[in-house]
Amino acid sequence: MAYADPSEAFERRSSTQVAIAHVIASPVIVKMAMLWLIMILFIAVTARWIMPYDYQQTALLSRLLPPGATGASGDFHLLGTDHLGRDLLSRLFSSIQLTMLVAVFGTFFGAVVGSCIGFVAARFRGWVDDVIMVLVDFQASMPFVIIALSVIAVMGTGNMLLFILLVGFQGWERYARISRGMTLSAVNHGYAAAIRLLGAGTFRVYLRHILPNILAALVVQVSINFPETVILETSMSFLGVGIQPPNTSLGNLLSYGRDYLLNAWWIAGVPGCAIFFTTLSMSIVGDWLRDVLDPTTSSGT
Amino acid sequence: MTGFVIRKLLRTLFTLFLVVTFVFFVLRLTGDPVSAMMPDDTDPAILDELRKQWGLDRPLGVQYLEYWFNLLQGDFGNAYRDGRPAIEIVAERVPATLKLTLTAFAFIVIAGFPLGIFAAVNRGTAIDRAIMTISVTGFSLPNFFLGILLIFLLSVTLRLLPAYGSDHWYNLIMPVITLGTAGAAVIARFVRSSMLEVLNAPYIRACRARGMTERAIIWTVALPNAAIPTITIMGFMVGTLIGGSIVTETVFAWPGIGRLLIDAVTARELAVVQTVVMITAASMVFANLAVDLLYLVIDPRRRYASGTGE
Repeated sequence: MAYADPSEAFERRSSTQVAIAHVIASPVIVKMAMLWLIMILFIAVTARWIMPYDYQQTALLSRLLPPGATGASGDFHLLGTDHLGRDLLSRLFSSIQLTMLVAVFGTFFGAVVGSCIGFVAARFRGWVDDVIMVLVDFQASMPFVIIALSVIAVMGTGNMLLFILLVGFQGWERYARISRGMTLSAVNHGYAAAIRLLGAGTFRVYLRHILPNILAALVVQVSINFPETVILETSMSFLGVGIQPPNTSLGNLLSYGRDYLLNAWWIAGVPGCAIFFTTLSMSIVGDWLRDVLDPTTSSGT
Repeated sequence: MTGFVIRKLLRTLFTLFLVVTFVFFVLRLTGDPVSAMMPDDTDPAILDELRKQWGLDRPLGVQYLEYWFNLLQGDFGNAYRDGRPAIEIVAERVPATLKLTLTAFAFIVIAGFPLGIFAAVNRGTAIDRAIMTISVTGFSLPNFFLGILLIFLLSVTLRLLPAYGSDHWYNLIMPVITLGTAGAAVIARFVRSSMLEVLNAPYIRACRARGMTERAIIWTVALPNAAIPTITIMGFMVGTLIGGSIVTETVFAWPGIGRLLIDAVTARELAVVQTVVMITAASMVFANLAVDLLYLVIDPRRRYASGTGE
């Protein structure tokens, strides 16, 4: 893979000013996507404080209220209420929080574990490398959701930590492949060997010298992987094998709404649009990030 | 070339071996299937009895060999609830899934290719941008939301199609769009960039220099060459379709193996789960093999390259 001059890449990343210049020069659609993502992140962090009502508070007299309606007890519901009279806006905030929590931690976990597996393969070569690559190929030939479902079948639903790790594990084989391949080519460049000759240990060589050089490629992979993680989590929650009540993710919210399409479209429509605009924004920002970080590929060709 | 085919076949068998081993260890090591299936307050004596009955008290190696022995005889275990062979339960659901996925596959090709070609030929114009915008949108739209949107639009609002059912051809329309849209978007994007790459190649310039019409170049020279790399993506599509059919079948109450898998996971019918996983994995592995072999047939360069031992 052709790669930009490492020193140049390093300089670009270390300079906040250049990064800001890139953001300012980005197309309007990218700015809008970033704005949406910032808003989602803001909601995810502050959900507990900015939600107008308790997201689990039921009110049977205020069931299925349309957006902008005022409930029996005089409560205003900006996005309406669901089949149990719960405020949809509060439920949306709480769901965004959980979905983002799973996506951020899951993606981070998958990226770290996957990249480390790739490092191990590149460091030890030989049979270790062979075994890892066989597993990578095996993973690439199986839809991850099938594997996740078979683990859930045995472990049962309701274990949130397991679910986050499981969802995050998706795409590990791509991180492994990238970090292995780029580490091998970095070793061939000779700088890693030079540092090793100067007496640096394995960890120092990998973390301080090889990692910064392949970070751009890994960041691009994160931008591809992140929306996939959101979709995997929301699909599994939608299917009833992910996040379990009373916790709620955007997928749970959407699946409740499915039964009320006829008389309360907003219950499914609101979380559905939230998921869609979030994954769409991530794809747009990801595409843009790819162009900025890797000058050798451009979407124009 | 024979060597290449044999190597590919051996690799396929090896992957299948890995699948079986993976399923065995996931089912045995991530938990105790007996206590997973029985209610929490079951008498420990009954659990022990069940473990003995299912041979779970024996060494892992023995169980593993026996597992293979049973699989090779077509015994995938019995469903816990009604005692029927799991393979039978899965087999009666396969036709519905095949009908859905194969139609969706056809939809992906029929929608994806023309869009990609059209965008590439009109590169940089409003048409190109419109097609690429549709493509990014289609790719980002989660299929469960797309399915619900379609039900809302076509069933609830316009009352054109029934939301559920699988008996008539028109029942296929919404599930196929739901399942195929993301794939069509991917294919359109890929065909576009593949076409653009080919259109910049020297041999296209040579064709122009010889006075071939642009139309003839696109259809008889560029497209066949640009289509070759899409075969790999089509191979990936099999996995995407199988994964996507789980959601699609649930949304539209389609009686296929995807919905069966979700029901089995929820009810912890491990025999059914493992059967579905193995059938899915086997179809993906064979799809990959088919892709590799198809390359040999279609692309003569591969034939010669592999003939000389790569």
